[in-house]
Amino acid sequence: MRSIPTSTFVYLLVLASLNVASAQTIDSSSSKTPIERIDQRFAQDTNEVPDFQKHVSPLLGRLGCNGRACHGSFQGRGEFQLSLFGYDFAADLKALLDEKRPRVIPHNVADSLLVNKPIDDNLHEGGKRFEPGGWEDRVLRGWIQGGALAPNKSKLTRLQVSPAEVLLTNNAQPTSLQVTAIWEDGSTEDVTPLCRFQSNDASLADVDEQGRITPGDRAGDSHIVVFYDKGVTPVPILRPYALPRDERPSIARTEIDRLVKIKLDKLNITPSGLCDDATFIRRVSLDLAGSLPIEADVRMFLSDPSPTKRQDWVEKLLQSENYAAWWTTQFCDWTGNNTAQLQNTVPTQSASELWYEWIYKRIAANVPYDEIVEGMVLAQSREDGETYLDFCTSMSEACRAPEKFAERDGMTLYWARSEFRSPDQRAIGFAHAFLGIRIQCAQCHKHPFDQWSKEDFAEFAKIFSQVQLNPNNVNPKQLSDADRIVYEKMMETIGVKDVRNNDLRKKFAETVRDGGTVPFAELTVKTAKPDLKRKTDPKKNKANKDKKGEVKEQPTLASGQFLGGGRVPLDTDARLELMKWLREKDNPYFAAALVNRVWTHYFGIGIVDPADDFNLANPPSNAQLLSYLANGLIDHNYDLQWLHRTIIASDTYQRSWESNASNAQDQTNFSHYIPHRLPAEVLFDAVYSATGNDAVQATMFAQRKGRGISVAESDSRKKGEFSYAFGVFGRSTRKSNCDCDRSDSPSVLQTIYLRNDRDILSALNRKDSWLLQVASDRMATDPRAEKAKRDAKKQAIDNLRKLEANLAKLRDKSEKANRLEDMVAKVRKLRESLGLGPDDTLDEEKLLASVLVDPWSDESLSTMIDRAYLRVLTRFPSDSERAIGLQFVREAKSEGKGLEGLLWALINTKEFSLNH
Amino acid sequence: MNQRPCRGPNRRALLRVGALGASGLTLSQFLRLSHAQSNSSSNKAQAAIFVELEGGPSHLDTFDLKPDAPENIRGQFQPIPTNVAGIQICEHLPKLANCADKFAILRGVSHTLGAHELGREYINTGSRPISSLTYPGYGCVVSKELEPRTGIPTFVAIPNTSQRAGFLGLEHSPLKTMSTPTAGKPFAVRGISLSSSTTLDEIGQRHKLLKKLDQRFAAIEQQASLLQGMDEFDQQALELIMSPKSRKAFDVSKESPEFAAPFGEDPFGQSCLLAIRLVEAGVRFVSTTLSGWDTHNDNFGRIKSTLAPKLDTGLSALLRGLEQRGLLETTTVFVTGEFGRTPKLNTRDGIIGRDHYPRCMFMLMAGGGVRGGQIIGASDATGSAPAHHAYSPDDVAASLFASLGIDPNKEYQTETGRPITLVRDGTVIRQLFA
Repeated sequence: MRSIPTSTFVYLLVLASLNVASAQTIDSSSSKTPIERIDQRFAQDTNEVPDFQKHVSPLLGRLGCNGRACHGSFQGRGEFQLSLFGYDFAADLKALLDEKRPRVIPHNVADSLLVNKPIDDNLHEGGKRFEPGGWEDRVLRGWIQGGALAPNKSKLTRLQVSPAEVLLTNNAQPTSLQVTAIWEDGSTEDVTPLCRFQSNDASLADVDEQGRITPGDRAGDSHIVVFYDKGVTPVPILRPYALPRDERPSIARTEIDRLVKIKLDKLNITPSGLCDDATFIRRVSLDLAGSLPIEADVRMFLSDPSPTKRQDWVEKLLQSENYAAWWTTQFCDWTGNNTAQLQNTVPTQSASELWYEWIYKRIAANVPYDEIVEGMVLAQSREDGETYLDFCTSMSEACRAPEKFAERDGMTLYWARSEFRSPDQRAIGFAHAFLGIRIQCAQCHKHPFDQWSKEDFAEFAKIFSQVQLNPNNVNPKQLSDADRIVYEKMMETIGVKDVRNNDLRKKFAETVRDGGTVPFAELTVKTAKPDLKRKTDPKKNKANKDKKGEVKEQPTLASGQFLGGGRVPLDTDARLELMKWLREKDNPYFAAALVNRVWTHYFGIGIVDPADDFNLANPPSNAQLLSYLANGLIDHNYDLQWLHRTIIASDTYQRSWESNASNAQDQTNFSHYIPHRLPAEVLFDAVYSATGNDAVQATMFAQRKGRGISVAESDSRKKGEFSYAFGVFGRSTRKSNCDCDRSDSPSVLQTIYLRNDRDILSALNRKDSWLLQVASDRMATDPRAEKAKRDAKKQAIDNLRKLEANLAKLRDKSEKANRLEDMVAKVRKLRESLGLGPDDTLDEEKLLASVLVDPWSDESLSTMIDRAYLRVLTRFPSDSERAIGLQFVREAKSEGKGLEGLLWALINTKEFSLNH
Repeated sequence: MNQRPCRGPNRRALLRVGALGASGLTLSQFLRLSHAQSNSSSNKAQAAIFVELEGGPSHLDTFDLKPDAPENIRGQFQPIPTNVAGIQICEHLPKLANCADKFAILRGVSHTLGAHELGREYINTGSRPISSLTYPGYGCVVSKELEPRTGIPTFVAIPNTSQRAGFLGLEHSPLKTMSTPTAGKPFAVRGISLSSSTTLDEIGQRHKLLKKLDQRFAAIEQQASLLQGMDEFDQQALELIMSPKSRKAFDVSKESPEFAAPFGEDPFGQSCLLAIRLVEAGVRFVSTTLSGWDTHNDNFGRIKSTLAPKLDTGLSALLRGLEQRGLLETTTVFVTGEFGRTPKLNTRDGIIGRDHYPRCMFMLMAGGGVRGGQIIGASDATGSAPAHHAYSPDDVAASLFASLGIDPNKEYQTETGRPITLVRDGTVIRQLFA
């Protein structure tokens, strides 16, 4: 983007409103004036000794030394390895001061490679990084000269960036960012030359390593991100659209609309108008209940004059089975209901179904979100007052009837997955599911886009070390004496005392199926004991004696730490504190992650996008909107239906996809609806509903049974008829702690599927298809249709088919020549009676169609075309569409074929496979 | 969208409606740009055929015999000379012995994954599997890197494959035939074949109707790459369904009996025949499978009576067929299982077998600039380990990509923005092409 002549654009301006903010901050830190910039302090020789954490480490980061391509690589470079993206000071110092191959010799600058390498193009594979004698050189030398000391660990309070927001206009002055570090001890320093800068969208604005901003070639908004120490601060960059704006005053009807409008006004964007009723009922039914609305409902809705009909329809959907089924599927995606990982966790093959039913029951009853999560996070095996036998009986029953599992309080399966056993795996999975963050980076190195260090990750993971659950194996030793007797009796009754592994599993499965009870493993929590004994035993712990020989009383209490939060002792069940932490009003993730996921579902793009990637460098496109929704959810007691209603009721949700000149380019500020592909399950169901007869449609809309959106399993082997389509359209695999396990991108395979797959072709002509319904209705209502005659003809056709099939078989066996002749004669006769020559193809539809004397009138055919449109596209056709349809059906081989062709075409429109 | 560590277009973001509009690229421009990054220099192979010997074939009883090893290791088969002096292979592979000049044998290839699923993932991707990521299979990479040809899919799996597109995106997934052809019988693929009740003419009429009716978003189509992308796929899908080229290519019964005869009647042989037809028609990557190599029991009986004869017939016909059609130089053939098998015979239960053994295995490569008639690497005297240098599946994967003009060091980004080198730990085996 640098190639664009910058003279034409220019920029800057600190927004007036933000001057206030920065004035305040200057005020609050006015006791100490910031230390001046390091490049100025070290422009000449100085006695100052730089600090490793504050100066040397960030400098190495900014010079790229600890990047992945250089010494940050896990293999190192030139046998020298730094921690990737820094912040592991101990490891970095160790590498620098390595005994065998030191890069730094304290007090001996001349022999230290750290300063000799980066100034020498020949010596250093990474090339020359700075000028000898420059400030960078002096900083590194100064630190070595000062003894190459380890840092006094300082804690960064925050970074203050000025300007706090940048408005790009066509005639402003160039701007540079200035960054001040504010430390916990109150000291401040201008650290601009030590920061890394990154543009989140170079086509809007780029930034160089000095923090100078160059505008790109488009309007819109994004962020420049500043990195220093653990601080990551995004600076909003806005460039208003210069396009003509609709001057009609737009009214913000709801709080969502108001918050969206604030941003749109800044960008000079006029939002699109509201969508029409037909679009609304389709959009909201697909989004909220995963279901295509049925023809009858669409007709009623379109003719309903009630001003509250949109609200009323939403209420109807919220009460439907399919609302609960569809959101259960999404909860299963987020929380990781992975069939393969649940294998053998229950004796039957239905652990995924148990999981699904448990959530379904709660979504259907509108249980508050935090309580649903609590049921998973705090899951206990036994209910209050339950004996081991009660527990095993109830679980065995649940394996026979998954909905029984839903009646239990604890969703222990959450802890049972094979890839959710180690504290690290749990920390990663938990953070993804309930915090919307991708913490896994910090498992091995400083998070490149967030504040998390490796240490933060390790401390967080400790919280997950207590839960023990090996569902594949009951360990009788862990049972109390009384329970062990129950267990042994159970094993004896089943007759499996000496049976092991697979054979045991088979026997358990049989027993459960036959109505018996088998033992189940229980979730236990292993709390840490304060290790007083070891520390106070003088013989065992001499190191703790001080000079007088007295033992120091230093009981160390095992503890973990929340992300960015307080410590959690591990001597009690830490999950209680964890749940409390999630519910804290100022927890920045828990409610926000959920509302953002739900928002992403409705809009195809998140306020934070991707939805599961909350990090400091990926700020929300509208922070006020996100916090309004998150706080609203909390204030409404985590009422999920409140969230749905509130979003759907906004004009923002109900906007048309049709854009205007000012908002056509906008993709991130919700100024118009952005069409996106229907999710795999929803699309699959929509095809079967649109092509099914009226009864099928009504049943599919009303019931979850048999629906693609209510398949519990993630494993393709268990999805049966759905499996191929689910794979092609990217249903979530629930495998890798990433919302991207679900894909909404199009592919040629998807198009081939919709155009020509046997699933689709047979759906059009199946027994309970709409086309067949139309054909038989017509037969019934047409007085001239001779049903008997048609039946007779149908009989003849069937006979002919059978005969010809037998004939083909017989031909392979030449010895039956006599019978062959016989049959050939019969076939000829039958063919003649149907008016077919010996080589004519047997086209049942055509033959049956010829029974009817009168063709459809234009009027009744138009009605059929309208019906096809209502069923597939949830709207009436335009006059020209109706005319095109009419002509097509008339020109087809038969009306039936014509109607089939029309239905096929409608299913294959983009309008059908996109929500719009 | 851009907090990612590396520059370069983010496919997912670009395919969202309008994102391209914002960046000023149309989807086709974007696709062209992506293709422009690929190396299509004319002396490189234009296609590849991957033959997976599923189950883990015993190296000691096929291409790496040890006649001088103790009896409990060398097994029951004798080596025979081939048409290349100094190269010997198993006596039950006589047809391959007659065309040993056409392929290179890699011996002493080594890795550490002894479970079928993990081993398969490794040898289908060239990267040691990790749980947090799906590495794209070879064919998916080829689909991304080599320009597709009109009217024919880029990556076809006969009948199926474990290769997945992973972070490259679903559009690079294989087209799976889901069944294998039967000798002399017409063959067709799900979605591409025409059903008996619909004629080509009808499909043509329906598509014309579709074009007329699919106009709802005409006004915003210019700014919406999703819509443009779907239109592009529409065109490709129609070509695949309508084009006689693709249907003809799949239909092995259209092959001349003289050419088809050497492939035999077996599904694997027929898959090899189909592979040639597909490559000839412009498919870039074909995978075929011969399963049943998991010979814990009756190792020798099964190899002698079925596995070796099937492999011998199918693979020799494949190599000769490619050469006959002038395609061998431009088509890389890669044959491998997921691991070798234990040198020491397993005589438990009285039925002689060999168990999983990733530490030492063989692989074959041919065509695409690979010099045939050579042995690369070696195993030790008992076939228990590489004798000197251990080649890894990564090295062979790097060589496969290199033969196709794809840089094995190329860097991709996962959907979460994580940078991934195509082949992380492999080095191209230069000797293959020397």
